[in-house]
Amino acid sequence: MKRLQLFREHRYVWSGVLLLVLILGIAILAPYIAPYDPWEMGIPYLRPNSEHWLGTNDIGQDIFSELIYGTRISLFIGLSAAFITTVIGTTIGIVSGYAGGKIDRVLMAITNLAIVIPNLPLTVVLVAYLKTGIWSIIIALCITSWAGTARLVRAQVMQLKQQPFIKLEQTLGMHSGYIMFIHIFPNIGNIVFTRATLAVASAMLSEASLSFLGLGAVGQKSWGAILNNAFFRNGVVNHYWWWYYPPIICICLCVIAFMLLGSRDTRKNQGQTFISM
Amino acid sequence: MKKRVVSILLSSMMVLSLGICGKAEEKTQEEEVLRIGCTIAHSNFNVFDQGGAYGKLNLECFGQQPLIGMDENGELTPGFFETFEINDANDTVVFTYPTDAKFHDGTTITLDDVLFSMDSWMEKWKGRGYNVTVTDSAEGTITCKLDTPSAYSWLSYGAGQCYIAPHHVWEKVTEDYKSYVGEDAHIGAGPYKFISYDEAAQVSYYEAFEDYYWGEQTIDKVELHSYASPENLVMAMKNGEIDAMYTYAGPIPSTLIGVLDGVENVDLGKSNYSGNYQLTFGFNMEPTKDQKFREAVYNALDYNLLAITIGGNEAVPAKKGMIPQGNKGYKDGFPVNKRDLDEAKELLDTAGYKDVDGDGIREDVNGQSMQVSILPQSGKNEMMARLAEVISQNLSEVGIQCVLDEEAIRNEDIFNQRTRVDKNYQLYVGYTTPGVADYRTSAFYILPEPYYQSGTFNDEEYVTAYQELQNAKNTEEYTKAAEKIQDINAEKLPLIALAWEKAYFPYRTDRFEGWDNWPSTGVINQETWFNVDSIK
Repeated sequence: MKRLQLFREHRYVWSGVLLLVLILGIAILAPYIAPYDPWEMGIPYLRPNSEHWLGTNDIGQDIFSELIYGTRISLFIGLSAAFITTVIGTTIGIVSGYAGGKIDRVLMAITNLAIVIPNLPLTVVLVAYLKTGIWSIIIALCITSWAGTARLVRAQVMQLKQQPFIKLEQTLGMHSGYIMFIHIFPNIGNIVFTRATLAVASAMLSEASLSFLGLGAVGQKSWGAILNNAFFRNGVVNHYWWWYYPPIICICLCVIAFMLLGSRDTRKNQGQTFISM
Repeated sequence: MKKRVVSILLSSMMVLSLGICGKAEEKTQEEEVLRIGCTIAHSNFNVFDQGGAYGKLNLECFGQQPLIGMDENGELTPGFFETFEINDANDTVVFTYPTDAKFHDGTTITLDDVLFSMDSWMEKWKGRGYNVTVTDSAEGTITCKLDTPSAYSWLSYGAGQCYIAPHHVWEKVTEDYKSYVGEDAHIGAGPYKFISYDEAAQVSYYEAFEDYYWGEQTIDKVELHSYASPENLVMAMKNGEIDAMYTYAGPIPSTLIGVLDGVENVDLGKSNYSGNYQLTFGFNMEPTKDQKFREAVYNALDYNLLAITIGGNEAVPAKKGMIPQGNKGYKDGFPVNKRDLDEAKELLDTAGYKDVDGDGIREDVNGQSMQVSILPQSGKNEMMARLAEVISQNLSEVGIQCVLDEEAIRNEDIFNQRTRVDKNYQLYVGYTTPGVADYRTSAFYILPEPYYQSGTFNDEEYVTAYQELQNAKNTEEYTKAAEKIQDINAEKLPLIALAWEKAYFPYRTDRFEGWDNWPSTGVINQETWFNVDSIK
């Protein structure tokens, strides 16, 4: 009964978890689920049929298999970029907020600078200049996406710094690094987690945009790349909905899943309780 | 009250009649204007700028009068020069021109204008390998001499794309002619004169030149509409916003034809396309300089898939002779390109490209790992990259590992370094425009300098045959040389034509009649202005 109540309270989160488990399952089991090798070429422009559920693209590749394999790239880029940006953003935010003074001013000046630069154009420029590949996209996304997390974490740390248990630890002469990462970090875990889930969603959208613009590696199977091919081979004007709708739906579902997952902590933060270790 | 009702009724009738008059006037105006769509942005309205929408349309004798014309079969016809006589040595041409022809500003074209025009185009001709000198001149005639026996080739590939320009306008211009934007920059002697340009709408307006010397125009006004993409142009055609399309060397992609197929009053404007996509081998690198390897690649490619990717269901696999059927110089009898994976594998085995370590990927003749790079041509990247993807996948099926040169795809500097400076590419996916196909053939793209900056096939026999093509005095000699080139190509395989496609230049049939669809050019051609008329 209590479990059911818990599930009801966090039904959005659980929906997100379920959706994510499904998506992760598809990504991990792609070679076993996909009916065809997504690079294998057959008859082009087939409409959906019993053999090719979503038809084939302009060079005869099975769109359904492309979509399944695309989950891997999109998720990998989303999770990797989100992890790195969260680590960078959180570290800068904690150090800046805790240290204060000159360090804070310098770090926040850099953060403010990073915030005012428009993300997508900068990412496009970076990707164009970096060596082609998944890691170029991840690096470009990391460089442009950490600032928001840093600002938020800093604000939270500055508030936490005034708490008696932190003051006590400072009085006891504990090392700043120890205080920051053992005592402060657990108390901002919720915010960091929420930012991380949103960062995954944002990174996936950015990846889709970059691949759609043709900045992904040629032949790479990602949802954005499928959309790019559908668009430039005129799938949209020819109303080949089976080519361009599925990747859009997949991107939406994935973003929704991560947003639902992050929704728990946003609300929990409203009634803050601090953890003293 | 009665008065009020009457006055309301009267005013309503007046407003209504005004509306009807307006509509009728609008309709009449609409009917006499030929609206052409293109996918090239408007840039400069200038005799010497051939880059923008106006510049490209001038290639079809529009605002400017070409020195020499060309018919739909690629045969030379009179242009500004009414007659042209090539001597037996094929290095001298005697031209005559009308002495009472006029420019758009009303001034008569004089010998001074002719000499100025010839002088202005010299640099362009030099860039194409023609060193021209005017050796004799008098009012109504000039004589030109070339330092090579290539007069016929010069007329075909040089003079036809150059115009007569007014000296009195350009003598005051000190800057680079192409960048001059003065109000008189457009003044020429073509059948239509520039009137105005609406930058926001990307539409330019033209009117028939009343003192045009070479014939009577059948259309009074022309509008040139620029669209951002072929998709937009096709939708405009479908909705009746434009009557025809013109884009130099750029027919509508086959993937868009479905949008117009079956639409009332729209003709798809299908014709044979003289251009083609091709795979070129780099002869400065192993293994592509190895003939056995090239033959293996030839046998490994899926030509049916490549044809569909390039030109939809209407495209067909090309032949080993590489010049498309219907082009000037085409020779029949070569085998159609066909996939034979067993033959490809056997060729690789016998040439020593074996899978030594058993990982499914072949090593080079020394047993070292082998990775062949594919470089798609810059500029038409999306299609080229897609073709490179197909070729890469095809070759992997016979154990050749390919890698796409993505750095060069993204960065034009790297692309230029690879192709023009280092010339160290292995497989190169390229494209022959109809212009080159008609006067030089795709062979042009593989020949070394001084012919082409990126070519690496320095084969004496091939170069000689190409030189003969350049020095041809007439169509017969050109055809003979082109046939020789095809023979060598089929034997040595420096280049593989990937598919032969159809060109689509759609046009509407509800407002104008008399269209003549020229292959690879479409209904907007040198004859349009004198044959197409509004349906009465």
